[in-house]
Amino acid sequence: MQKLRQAFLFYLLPILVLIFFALIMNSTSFFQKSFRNDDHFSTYVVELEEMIQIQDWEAAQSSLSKMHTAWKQISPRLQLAAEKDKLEELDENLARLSALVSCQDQSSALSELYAAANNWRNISR
Amino acid sequence: MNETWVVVVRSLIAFFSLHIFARVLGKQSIGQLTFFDYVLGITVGSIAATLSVDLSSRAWPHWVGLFTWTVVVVIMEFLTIHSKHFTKYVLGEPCLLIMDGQIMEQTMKKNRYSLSDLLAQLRDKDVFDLNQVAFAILETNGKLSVLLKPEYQTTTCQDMKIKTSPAQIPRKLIFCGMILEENLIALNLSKEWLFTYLKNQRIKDIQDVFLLSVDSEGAFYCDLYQDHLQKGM
Repeated sequence: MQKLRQAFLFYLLPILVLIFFALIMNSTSFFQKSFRNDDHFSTYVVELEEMIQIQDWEAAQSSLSKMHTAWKQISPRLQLAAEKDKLEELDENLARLSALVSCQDQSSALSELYAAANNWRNISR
Repeated sequence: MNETWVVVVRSLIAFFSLHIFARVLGKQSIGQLTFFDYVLGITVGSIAATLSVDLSSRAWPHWVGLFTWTVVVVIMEFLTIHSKHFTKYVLGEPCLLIMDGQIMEQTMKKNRYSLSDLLAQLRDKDVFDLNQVAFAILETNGKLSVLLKPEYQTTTCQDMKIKTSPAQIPRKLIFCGMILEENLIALNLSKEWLFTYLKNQRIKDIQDVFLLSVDSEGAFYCDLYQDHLQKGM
């Protein structure tokens, strides 16, 4: 029993702690997934792209607002494992996208949306 | 999440990872470290610091760096234990700087070791006169080992043929006002005996005692919480 306790304390516990740390540090992909009804970020990206393509600016505005809400839910979860700069870049993408959708500038809005989608994919890399 | 909490969590990860890795790396004290070990410590510490506070990069690559350095060092230690040639190749060999009282100038030059370095390290060993030194060896960790000429070596009890009792670590009987019963039992002493001893020493309460210990010769050391220092000391 004593040997078992020692083996747990000196070998198993440190290994479990290290595995736990590794999981925390690689949790970005997991936390990018949706856990609520209003944090389907990837779905809103596709939705917004369609709305910009057909120039339905009211629907685009609504999708963008959903994207903002989703991002507010997701970004705190990613802070532990992701780069701060990448999170800030996506923040900036969304801010610029808001302005472009308001101005109804299709080509610039699409380019900004693709940049946002690209940054979203890169967060976990 | 506030950035402060991110730093706190990352610092905890860095701290406990570093602690585990340091345990894996072994128990070498600072005095035993070679120059490489010293550089290794700085590098590992620097990686851990970046892991802790550099939020502009992910924690994972830094942690992998920390892990890789540890694994490489463990492999190197394993090889140095199991291969004499590898040890010689990686760590080098101890060098004789003084042989039969003669300074080996060529060896000193080869090791970029100056006379003032030699004299300083000898002084560090309480040797102020070169005439006293028979051999001086520069170890791989940069320390100097000195063997004095027989006439300057310290006399031991064995030289004087004095009988000594077996060396033992002094045992604590009372620590911070508490009786350490296992030590009393080990020394075949009873609590009654201890109370009588304290009474003889004019100690009224066991709570007044900070430390009471006994060495292998049976000599007691007693320190009370209240110190009776003479004024002006």
